[in-house]
Amino acid sequence: MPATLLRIALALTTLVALSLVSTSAAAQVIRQEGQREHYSVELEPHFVFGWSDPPGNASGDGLGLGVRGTFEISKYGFIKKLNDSVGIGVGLDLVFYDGSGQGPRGTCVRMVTIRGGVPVCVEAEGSGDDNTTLAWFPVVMQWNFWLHKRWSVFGEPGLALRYDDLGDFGIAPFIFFAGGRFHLSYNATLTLRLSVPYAPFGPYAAFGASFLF
Amino acid sequence: MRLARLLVAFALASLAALPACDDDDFCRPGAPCECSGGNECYLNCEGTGCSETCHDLDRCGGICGDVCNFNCHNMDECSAYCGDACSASCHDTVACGIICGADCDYRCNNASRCSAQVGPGSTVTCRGLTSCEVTCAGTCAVDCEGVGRCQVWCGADDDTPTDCTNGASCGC
Repeated sequence: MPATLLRIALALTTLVALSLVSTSAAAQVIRQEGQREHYSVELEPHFVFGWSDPPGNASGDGLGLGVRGTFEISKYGFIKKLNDSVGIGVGLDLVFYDGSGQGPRGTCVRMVTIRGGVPVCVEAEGSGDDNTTLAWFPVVMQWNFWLHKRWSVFGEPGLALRYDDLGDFGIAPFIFFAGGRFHLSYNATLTLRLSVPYAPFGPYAAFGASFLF
Repeated sequence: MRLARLLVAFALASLAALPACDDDDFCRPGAPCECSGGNECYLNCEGTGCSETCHDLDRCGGICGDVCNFNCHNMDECSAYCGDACSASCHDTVACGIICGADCDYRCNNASRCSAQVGPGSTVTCRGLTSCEVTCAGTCAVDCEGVGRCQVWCGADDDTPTDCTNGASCGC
């Protein structure tokens, strides 16, 4: 899975670069502050792929669904004379991890020794497989850069809460995503998001569609 | 309107692609439960038809009910505790041990020590071991090959084991 996703990411990056190079300068809007269709809310349902162990009980490869809602709080970002903007994003990702055998270990609470001197555990507790459904609740600041009529990119620092179906609850105090959008129309885009760096989410990618209202 | 249709289509596609998830992630019958790496692991599965696997760690134990399948390999100590009609194997391990009920099938390969305490109608196969020591509660068949010392006791109170070394097949 990692090699495949890496190839996809590389292909998309190349596509973006080629697209930006080959299109006319008039279509590039990054230096035209505020030059874009404005919106209040971005609703982004997506598929989620994870290909390594996240924090908590889950392990193995993950596949799931999620949704992100981002509310634009400033039409103008932190850099003057640049077409950037800022939003606050909240979301929910449900990811099913298939388990790698590294999960709950279990403890032997009663051991007996049989003939030959070999110990046999006859009572254990706390064991389990580690195929786990994990829920992430990210809260991020989304900093957008509107590069081109067809392309925009964003960075998302924030935090996330996680909860799994073994009842384990935790918090990731700092997360960071980077992503990009290909604009199909003024209010619909294809959106790819990658966790950067990999920790604490584990290698993690989301691909979906964004709808801007 | 077009946007709404797009949203509905995406939602339906997403639901169709949603992987099946379970509420109980503990070892359970019918679903393989695996443990590997690290120091110790003890798997516990209640019910009939469990399947447990342990490998590449220091110590592991599998506990399960009837008609259980348990496999372990590449570790120092591995033990199994299961009910009737269980099938277990242990290989490339320093010490293998099992306590099982009736009609169980236990296979030990390429280990230093293998000990089994089995119920009536069980079969124990030992290959390439330093020692294989079996206690049968009732009838049983023990097959040793390439084993330094193979002994069978017929019952817990039996003080005179049968020597099954040198390729002899014996039992109680």
